[in-house]
Amino acid sequence: MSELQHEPLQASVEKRARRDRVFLNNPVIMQGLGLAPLIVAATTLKNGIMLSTAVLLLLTPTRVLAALLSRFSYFRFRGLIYALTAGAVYVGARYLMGLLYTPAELALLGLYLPLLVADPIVLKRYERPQRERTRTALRKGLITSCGYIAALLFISALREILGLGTLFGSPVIGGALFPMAQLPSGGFMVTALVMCVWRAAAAGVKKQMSLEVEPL
Amino acid sequence: MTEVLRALGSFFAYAVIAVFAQNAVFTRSLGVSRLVKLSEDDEVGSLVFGALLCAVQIISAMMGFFVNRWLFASAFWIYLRPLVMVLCSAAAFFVVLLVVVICFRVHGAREIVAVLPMATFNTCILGTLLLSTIQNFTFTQTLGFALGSGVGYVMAVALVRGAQERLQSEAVPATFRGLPITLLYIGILALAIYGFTGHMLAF
Amino acid sequence: MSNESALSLQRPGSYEANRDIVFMILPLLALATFFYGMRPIGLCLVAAFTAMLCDHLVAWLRSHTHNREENSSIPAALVLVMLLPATVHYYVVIVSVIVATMLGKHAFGGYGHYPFNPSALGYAVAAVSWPGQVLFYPTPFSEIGLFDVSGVTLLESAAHTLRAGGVPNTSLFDLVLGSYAGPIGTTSVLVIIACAMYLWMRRGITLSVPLGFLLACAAVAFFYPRVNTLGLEPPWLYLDTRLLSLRYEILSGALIFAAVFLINEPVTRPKNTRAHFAYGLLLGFMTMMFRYFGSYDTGVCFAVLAVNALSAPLDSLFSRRAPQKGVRA
Repeated sequence: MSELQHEPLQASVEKRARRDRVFLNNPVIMQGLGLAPLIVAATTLKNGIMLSTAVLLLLTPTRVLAALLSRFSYFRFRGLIYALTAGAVYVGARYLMGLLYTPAELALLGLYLPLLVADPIVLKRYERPQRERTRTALRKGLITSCGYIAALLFISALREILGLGTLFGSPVIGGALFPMAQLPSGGFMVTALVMCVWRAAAAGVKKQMSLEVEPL
Repeated sequence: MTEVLRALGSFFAYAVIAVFAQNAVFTRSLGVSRLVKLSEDDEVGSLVFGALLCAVQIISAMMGFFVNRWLFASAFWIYLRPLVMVLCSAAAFFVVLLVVVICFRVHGAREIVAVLPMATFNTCILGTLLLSTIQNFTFTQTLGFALGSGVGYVMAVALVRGAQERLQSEAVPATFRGLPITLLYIGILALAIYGFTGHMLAF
Repeated sequence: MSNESALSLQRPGSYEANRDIVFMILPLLALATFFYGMRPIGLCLVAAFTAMLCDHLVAWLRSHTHNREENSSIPAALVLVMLLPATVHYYVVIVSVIVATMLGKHAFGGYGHYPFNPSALGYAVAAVSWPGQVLFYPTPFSEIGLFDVSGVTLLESAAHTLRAGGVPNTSLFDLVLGSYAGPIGTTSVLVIIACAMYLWMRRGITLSVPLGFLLACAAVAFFYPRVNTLGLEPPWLYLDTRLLSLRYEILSGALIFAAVFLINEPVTRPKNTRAHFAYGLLLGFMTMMFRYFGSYDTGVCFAVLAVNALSAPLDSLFSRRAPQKGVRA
């Protein structure tokens, strides 16, 4: 009897876990989306914050608009619709970024700021065959942005502390613990380690959740 | 004659540099998300994806060069650049689609066309386009860099796929399995290439 | 079948092979102590201890008891220390051993599963992160304290002089004996060759990989010398320059040390013995490319990392040829 009840309860735990796009099902950690800017450009917390603002301004509007527009377009060209929408939204997003940050600060991000237009974190949705409802696009866009921003801020802060010994420009520890964290190869390694630890923590929490729902 | 030779030399030099010393994946992390997906997934053939990627890359690079020349001085170029580059890659998408449909007929082309959007709208294509326009390469340099970028990406896919036997073994700890260990593998190769260039590349 | 069982009796198991490598590091360490004092011993002890700690930590994390038979971390850590200068900070050694053991070996699943040589990885991380510590060497017989290394004059390696197009200012005698500014254990070629002979007799190393490696290095050094760069001249001209280049290139930059201790690692080289010579040739060529055009003098570690990724393709290339040969015969 308990076995019959076990499976749907386990499925509900999995469903809850999939919906949590910040910790349990983070788009970066679990699906590997948005890695290009993360590994090369997110070397300091300041860069991380700038990238987060860009993603916030870019992701949700793109997803909502593209969901709207894909109603009127041929199924096969959905990738095109999403990419063009992202490019169009970028015009506005870049203008707002120009108001918030100086050109010197934005130059630190280099090509990884415009590159967000083609990044899977923004475009991935086009690969699914079903069209998205506008309301769902809004909700999912916002929570995916939150998930990406959480991972981005965490990893960029970690890389700054390890690689430079500072946080947001002010020194935190004496010297750099692992200077390579500022390089792309160190970025790959640090991201792999963060994924490992994060996944272990998420697995532990999921196990706790499934123990809680198990009938006594 | 010397002009032609010099142009050819510049083309090949930039192509070789883009494959090895400035590899899109290992030095600039372009297209990594797609690469990890591809390496785990055996359905999409590397050859088909690679050929499509290179074709789209070269065609869009040519268009991007001329558009950049034309719009370079405009005040709105920094806002419009990604959109225009996406339009160039969309145009390349249609050109390649046309060629594939003509060569393979509609029925045979179906599988190839299913892969085409994935090969067109990714960070590798857009990244290379942005780089060649931001750094103002000449025409032959743009073409060489685009070809090298595509070939370098395919080489990275081949290298990571070749390592799948070790990366997917049961011995890898559960928390590392899949994405993290692939990233670690790419990171170590990126370190090896860094030993060659010795400095972080401009982006 | 009897041939196979006879081979398994002669070839040492991994435990004995790793123990042999540790034994062969000891003469190099003794010579290093003669040159630099007690500090190399301190560095080796710290490295071995860190490697053991990492092994136990991973065994605890993966919830199984530590396998006493599995001792490959210690020779990997010691080989790594041999590549570093005697004045390197303890922190650099600790971090590079941790990276080599945890990321290079255990993340991939432990012994037998890692694709990259852990010692090469550790050295690459150290050289990229702390170039000031790792790429400058003390001259032998200078006063180096066990904990305090300030006040020791540091020089760049002989390979660095070659990169600049010059000839290193060391006599052949010094080059072979190892009494010039270089890493702890890679300078004394005579001792390394003696270690190689012992390891070969114990079947710890095969000759095909080092042979291919040294052949490729020698060919590049002979035909395209860096010393008084010649360009594309016919090979029979400028013989004295070519032989000079050959001598200095082979005897510097930890090349002989790498040929014995780094490239013969049984886990990272191709499984197929037919592929070994090609692997060695490729390694030698890539090493010289890294030394000539790359940014680090000891390019051999980066080349090892790059070519380790090609072990699996080489294996499949050479194993595909075998059935074809059988059909033709």
